[in-house]
Amino acid sequence: MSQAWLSYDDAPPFWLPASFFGVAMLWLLLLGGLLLPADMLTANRYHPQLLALTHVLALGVLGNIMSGALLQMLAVASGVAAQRASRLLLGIFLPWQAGTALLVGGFWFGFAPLALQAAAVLLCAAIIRLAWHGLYGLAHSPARDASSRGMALALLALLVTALLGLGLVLTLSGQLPLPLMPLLHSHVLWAAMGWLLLLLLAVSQTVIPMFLITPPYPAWMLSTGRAVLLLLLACSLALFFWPAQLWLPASLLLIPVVLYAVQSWRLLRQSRRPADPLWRQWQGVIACLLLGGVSAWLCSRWTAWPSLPLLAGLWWLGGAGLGATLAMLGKILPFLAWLHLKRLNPPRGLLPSTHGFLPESAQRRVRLLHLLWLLAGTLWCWQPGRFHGLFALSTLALASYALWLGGKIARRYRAVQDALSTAATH
Amino acid sequence: MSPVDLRHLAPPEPMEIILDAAEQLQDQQTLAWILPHHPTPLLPMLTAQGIDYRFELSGDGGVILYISKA
Repeated sequence: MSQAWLSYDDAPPFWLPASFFGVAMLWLLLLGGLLLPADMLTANRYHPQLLALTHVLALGVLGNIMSGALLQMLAVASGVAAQRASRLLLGIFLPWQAGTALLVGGFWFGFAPLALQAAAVLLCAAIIRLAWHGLYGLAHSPARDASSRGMALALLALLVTALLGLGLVLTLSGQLPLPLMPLLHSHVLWAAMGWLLLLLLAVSQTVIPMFLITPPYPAWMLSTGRAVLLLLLACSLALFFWPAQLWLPASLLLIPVVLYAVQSWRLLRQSRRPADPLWRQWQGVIACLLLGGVSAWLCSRWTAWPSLPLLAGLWWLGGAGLGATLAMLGKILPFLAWLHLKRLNPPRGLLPSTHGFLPESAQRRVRLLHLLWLLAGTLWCWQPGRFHGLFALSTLALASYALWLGGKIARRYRAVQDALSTAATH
Repeated sequence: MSPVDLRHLAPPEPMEIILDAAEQLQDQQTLAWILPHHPTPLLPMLTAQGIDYRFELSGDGGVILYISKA
């Protein structure tokens, strides 16, 4: 789709997506804070601390940014209005934060069953509310473009991820007699290849042509999303019933990743704005998707190196996921601040341009810090005992800078709002 | 009057430029820009400022937006 379809009439109030984006940076700060005392000496993908850290990144950081962006995209690109925004905050935002905190605490303190069960209930409630808002809204929306359909697929994958997570918690605490490893691998696959990749596919079909001035993604990208969903279903069935056949759907899952990477790379080469910071950021996202996808595929064949699953997770979640969400935030947040203030009809000269809210130089520094963070994370995956301090410090640096930028945008926003109120009372 | 090509700019820069120019528009004056597509989100904002607008196809895939005071 093109930006010609975007409509800002249904956009939610600024504070709704901004709450999700702001709290995500606090979770990133917590990730750094938790890495400092972490005592995992060797790479072990099932270590409780690693599970806690992974969920801080997946739910606290990425989940919040993705949910905030999804609510905004659903309203603006698909006409799914966020009416009663305070109810969405109550039904999604609050249980999401409480559930994530309990889940992280539950893992950190050695699989505490009560905390994990409460977390699963709260997170499922938040995700069902989000999925209901999105899927019900999309079913009643006239929008039939690739982004809208892609968001529906991503929400379906999120719902399956949450139900598999609930099954995992109930199995871990002895409430359900389900096979643990097939559940765990299915949960990871649906979260990473379903929710994350499908949302990336959906959102980039609007955002990349719009901000980098490229031709649109081809129509077959939507079929790629559907194929991912079918392959995930095949993987889950194979994991539970025919584990010897898993290699086939799992290998086929690499094809959509490569197709998306190749297609995105071709579009970047046709961009009319190659100097835009987003251009280099998206190049990094593509590289990390390929690195993460191939590493994850190798994990099932080459079990001798325990760092490989950690690297696959880092490059997929931290490289592609965090890279993409930070890049999108750099574009979307100043635009939203500018747009909401513009609609208040400020007098001439009062409202700064979007670059006044966030200059491109700041986005370049975010990219550099993210790159250093990724490098430190790669070393940490190799030797956690030796490099956890470096990884913690680079996480704290990235989170602090992102929070400082967020604060700067908020201060500029409030200054214009205050000036408008003062002008109205005189 | 030749329209200014804004197709190389990323959003919302074209929107910022057009709204800024609309605020300074004089009576009887007409301004024009070439855009990559029909600027749907911009139109309610122009209407709110009391601006009339019309479109022409640029012939190379874009649209030309003309604005004048209502």
